[in-house]
Amino acid sequence: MADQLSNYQCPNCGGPLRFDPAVQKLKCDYCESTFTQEEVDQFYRAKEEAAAQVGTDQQWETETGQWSGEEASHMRAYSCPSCGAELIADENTAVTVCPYCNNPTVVAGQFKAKKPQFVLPFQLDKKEAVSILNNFYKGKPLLPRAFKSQNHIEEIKGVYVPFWLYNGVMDADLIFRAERIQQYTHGDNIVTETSHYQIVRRGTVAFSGVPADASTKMPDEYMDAIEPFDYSKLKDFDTMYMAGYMADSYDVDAETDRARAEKRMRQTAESQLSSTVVGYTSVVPVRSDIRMIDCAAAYAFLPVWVLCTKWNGKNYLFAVNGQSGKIVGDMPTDKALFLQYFLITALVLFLIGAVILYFMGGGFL
Amino acid sequence: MRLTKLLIALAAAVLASVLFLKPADIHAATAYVMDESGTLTSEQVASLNSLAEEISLRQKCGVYVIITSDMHGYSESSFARGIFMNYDLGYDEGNRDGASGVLLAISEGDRYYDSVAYGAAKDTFSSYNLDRLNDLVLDYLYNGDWYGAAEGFIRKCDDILTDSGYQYYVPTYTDPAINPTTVTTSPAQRREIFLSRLPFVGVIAALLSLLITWVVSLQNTNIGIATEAMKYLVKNGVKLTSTQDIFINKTRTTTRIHRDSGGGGSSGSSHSYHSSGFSSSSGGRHF
Repeated sequence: MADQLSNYQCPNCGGPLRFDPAVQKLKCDYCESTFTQEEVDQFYRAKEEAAAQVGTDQQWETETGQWSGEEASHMRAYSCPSCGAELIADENTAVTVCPYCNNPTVVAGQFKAKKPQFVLPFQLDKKEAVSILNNFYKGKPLLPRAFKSQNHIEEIKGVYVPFWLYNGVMDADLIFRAERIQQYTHGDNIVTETSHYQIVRRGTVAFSGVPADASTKMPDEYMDAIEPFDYSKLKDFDTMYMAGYMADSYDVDAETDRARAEKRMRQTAESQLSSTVVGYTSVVPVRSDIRMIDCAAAYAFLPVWVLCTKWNGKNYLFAVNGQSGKIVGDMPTDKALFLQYFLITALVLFLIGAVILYFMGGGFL
Repeated sequence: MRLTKLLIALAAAVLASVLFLKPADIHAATAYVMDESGTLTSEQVASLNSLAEEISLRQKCGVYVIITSDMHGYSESSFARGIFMNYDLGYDEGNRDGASGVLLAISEGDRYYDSVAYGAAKDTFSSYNLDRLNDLVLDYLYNGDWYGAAEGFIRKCDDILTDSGYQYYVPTYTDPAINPTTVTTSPAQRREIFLSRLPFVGVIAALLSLLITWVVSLQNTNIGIATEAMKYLVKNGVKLTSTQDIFINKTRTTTRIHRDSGGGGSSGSSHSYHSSGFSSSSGGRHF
């Protein structure tokens, strides 16, 4: 079995290194040594390049004995560079953790074939992500109490999610019908004058960094909801940032994903140009011709903490923006609490309404 | 749960309190003297009514005596004023703002009476004069002479109006208008109206509560597909290359204003400012 993987091991003790968001350096959990990127690069460059060379040659072995042809075509088998264990992962796995020695392992070949331009390093650690989730439960009166009290996070993963960041210019040509109504009194008459206009707005609207996640494993509604990310903290891609986290390469290419970003840009371009039509009583759009005239996509890894819980046999997923801490999720609603909340609110509103009705009616007591 | 029980108890208490008393009917004024309790004979009522009508039209000030069977839900202090407004009393010349009159209101069941004046009559029937009128009728009522009380009141009012040189006019009121519901209905009627509308309040409360609860339940999920890209607009990235507002045509419609010709009579030659409409006696009495 060819060795096509690389990982970061501590130059001092050989323990696994992970990227520590607090110090923005690689840290060994065993001897607590920290290393800068340059130090690690210098130490491991030769090792990584050797592994990458094997990876780009596509010399990994595929286990075909027990998998169907279709399944096998999406699976890859690797050997852990630390302990030699055989790792099975899907074809897009870029960074994983060896279940035997717990070493974060980078499939360097993935980055050679689909190299990201940028990476946004994690700013939040696992403890902060869990704390954010616990705070998320607060102030939600219809959340089942058992979900809060008995809930245990089954899995928490720091994941670098592949995104396409689109820069683009939308060329818009909009036509509206508008009316301006003036009313005045002339003698014994009220005169209403309605002026009719055709409004033309043409122009360009430029966008930068409209994100669209490029992994089919990540639900789009979660990844859209955890925006925004602060791109000023983007770094040129380096595998150092991957240490300790999971990552998959993209499996949705830039051309396919573009439709999502373009739809958003189109909507915003239309609203921007429409907002310049002012001073009319009514405005009705007649024609909207918007097209993208310039588009470029950058491939980037953005940090997301993914937390999974199970309650009443159902899985619940939460995603935390690894930079800003914004959390999104879909939680259950307790039907009994819903009914109780409804009744209490209805009673309070009824009493308020009765008091208002009493005083509006002039009172009688 | 304790809060729920408390709220249910409160709602039940409100309902019970408004259901407790039976509403009573009130009739609009059709005469100067009315006897709802059946104390006077019809001949006596007719006689008093013609006397009061003659004086009222001559003086341009309504003089009224109303005998009710109960207080119509009013407190003693608001009894006479409430009856005056609810029976739509007062002499006027087409403008209800100019209603002027004086009333003796007697509750036969409660053995209580009081007098009140409204409008231009307020200037003439001061608290002092109203107290004098109350003193006058007390002896009659004490002796069970209801006819004498009414007749004495009407005639004394005529004397006071003549002696004071009363002139009819439309006062200008400086206080806010009296709540029309309070003016045209008795407390018992208002209770009836309140009860009839309460189910609608319940339905509206339930619908609003459902909406609020649904919105609160939405807090449990905050995922969704993004539809716009405002956050990713490049600074000064909106460039307009063409802005045209082309005038096409103008349409004009003319609507004739409907003006109410009015037709109300003259409101009188003199004006005086009243804070409200009433002057009251220093207090009604039991007999």
